[in-house]
Amino acid sequence: MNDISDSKQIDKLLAKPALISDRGFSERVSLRTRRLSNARRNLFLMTGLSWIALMLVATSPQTLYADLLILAQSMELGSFYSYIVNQIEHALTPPEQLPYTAFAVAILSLAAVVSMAIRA
Amino acid sequence: MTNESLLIFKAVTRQDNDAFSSLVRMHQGKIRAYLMRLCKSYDLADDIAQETFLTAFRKLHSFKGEGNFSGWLFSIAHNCFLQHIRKTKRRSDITQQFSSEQEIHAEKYDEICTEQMDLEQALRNLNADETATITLCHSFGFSHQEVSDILSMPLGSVKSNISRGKTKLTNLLTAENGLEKAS
Repeated sequence: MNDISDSKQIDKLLAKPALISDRGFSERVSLRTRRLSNARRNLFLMTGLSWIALMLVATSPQTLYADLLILAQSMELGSFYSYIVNQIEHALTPPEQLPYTAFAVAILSLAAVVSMAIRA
Repeated sequence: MTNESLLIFKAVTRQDNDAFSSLVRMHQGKIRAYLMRLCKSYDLADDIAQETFLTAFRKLHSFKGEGNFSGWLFSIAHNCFLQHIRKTKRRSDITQQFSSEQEIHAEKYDEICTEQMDLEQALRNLNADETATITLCHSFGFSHQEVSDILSMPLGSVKSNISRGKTKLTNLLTAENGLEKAS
């Protein structure tokens, strides 16, 4: 055996550390990070879907539409926007009120889910 | 831009799993060797190394690209090790238990010669701070200041731990050689 008690020899040995071989370690970590990513994405999607379900259960489509209308009007985007709002309001007047509002809510919900899926 | 920088960029900005896996492959050998020296157990070192990489993955957004990625990983690894110690609350027990129980297994390493095995064995007699500072500074090439930042340890303590650790190492290896020569 070589004499490794010499200080310089110890420095040389320390400078060449024995590295642990992989033996599937990286794959195990990758598997866990993928699981973590999937769990995050699923959680995000579930939150989005729960929010939509809650909105649909807790509020009627008409109320939801009225809230969105108030929000849109408060934004004051000018006459073009008012024209659009008036057109929608006109289209949603009885007797076809329920199908149109339901359709609008469905479109908004779909847009919310798609945006959440993209973000996730 | 180097290959590593590109992988870091992809992993940080896009949370890219493949890029992160490549980074794990690049750094696992060093991180596990470092943790092995601290824990004195291959299984425990592997568990803490896995926790290290998962923590790094979760905290990728906090890596701002300042300093090197390797140093950032060592810092997380050391914190994971300390957390484990705090959790078990048996720091000295663990050290003594593993230093007496575990042998160096050559098959666990990519490549290890007899002298390196003797050195690894001698390193088991040092305390965690001495082992950490010597390993980071002499084995993985970090400066004293970088080691101080990684371990959150005052610069003076880093220097004194290295000095004390190296004296211990020299004495241990001298004694071991003396015994072998006598026999």
